[in-house]
Amino acid sequence: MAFKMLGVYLALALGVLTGFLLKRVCKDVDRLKKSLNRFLSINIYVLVALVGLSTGSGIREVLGVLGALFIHRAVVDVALLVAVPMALSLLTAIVVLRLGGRL
Amino acid sequence: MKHIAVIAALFTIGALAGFFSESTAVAGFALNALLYSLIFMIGVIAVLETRSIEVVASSLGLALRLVASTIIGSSLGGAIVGALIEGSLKPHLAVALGMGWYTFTGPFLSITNSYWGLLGFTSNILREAATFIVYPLLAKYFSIEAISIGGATTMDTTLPVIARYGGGEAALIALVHGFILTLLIPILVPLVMELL
Repeated sequence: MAFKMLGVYLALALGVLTGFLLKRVCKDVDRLKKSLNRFLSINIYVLVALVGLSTGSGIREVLGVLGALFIHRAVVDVALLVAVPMALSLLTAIVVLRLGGRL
Repeated sequence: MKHIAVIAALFTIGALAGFFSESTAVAGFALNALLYSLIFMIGVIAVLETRSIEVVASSLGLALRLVASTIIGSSLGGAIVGALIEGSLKPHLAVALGMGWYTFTGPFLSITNSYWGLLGFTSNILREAATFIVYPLLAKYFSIEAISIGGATTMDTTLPVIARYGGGEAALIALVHGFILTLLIPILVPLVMELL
């Protein structure tokens, strides 16, 4: 994880430096932004498919360890543990940020 | 709507392929390589879209409030699920406080109990996956608030989706939000397991 985090910060720092450089050098920044956003959109599709692949493989490994006996209970637990904290995080953020007067 | 349908379809196809295929090591390498290149691009786009240092400073304050919201919301969620389901409150709260970081929560909880490890791993990996589909749907109305659903993943895996659908300011806030949560999760999860 520490190696991954280091890689993330390094990639980001290089990106920020490149961004500053491009802002100074490039004349048509809007056109550049448009091209970068288009490239980002395409790559997100690839990223989503790869994340799906790794999720599927992870779930298969976990089921391989515990077997089908726990599936029913695990499905209920997992569904609730994904949906409820996500929903309440969003709700709390809406209350805190909107009532806080920022947005 | 078309984009979200494509994202959902691609994720499902990928998950099925991962579930039924034996070798996914190449995909893991490709995922990391693509992730770093996307984060590099987000750095470039964030600089090109950020108008001034004041915008960055105001984003930091907002990110801190968002972090507090994510922790409170996730804790409440874990506590409610723990109360609803037969069993103790502690593991459900710990799983919910994993906030998307499945590589930490799963192995950490499996030391105590393999079933809790399963919950920690699967729930958090699915939280990350769900963010890919849910964030684009919510971004139009709640581009900043919806960052909280991604938890710790907003500093890496889900950052490209947030940047694409939420814009430059949302990407900056998501990065800080994910970074702070990544520092807090290894403190919060063991604390819950130790104290409760």
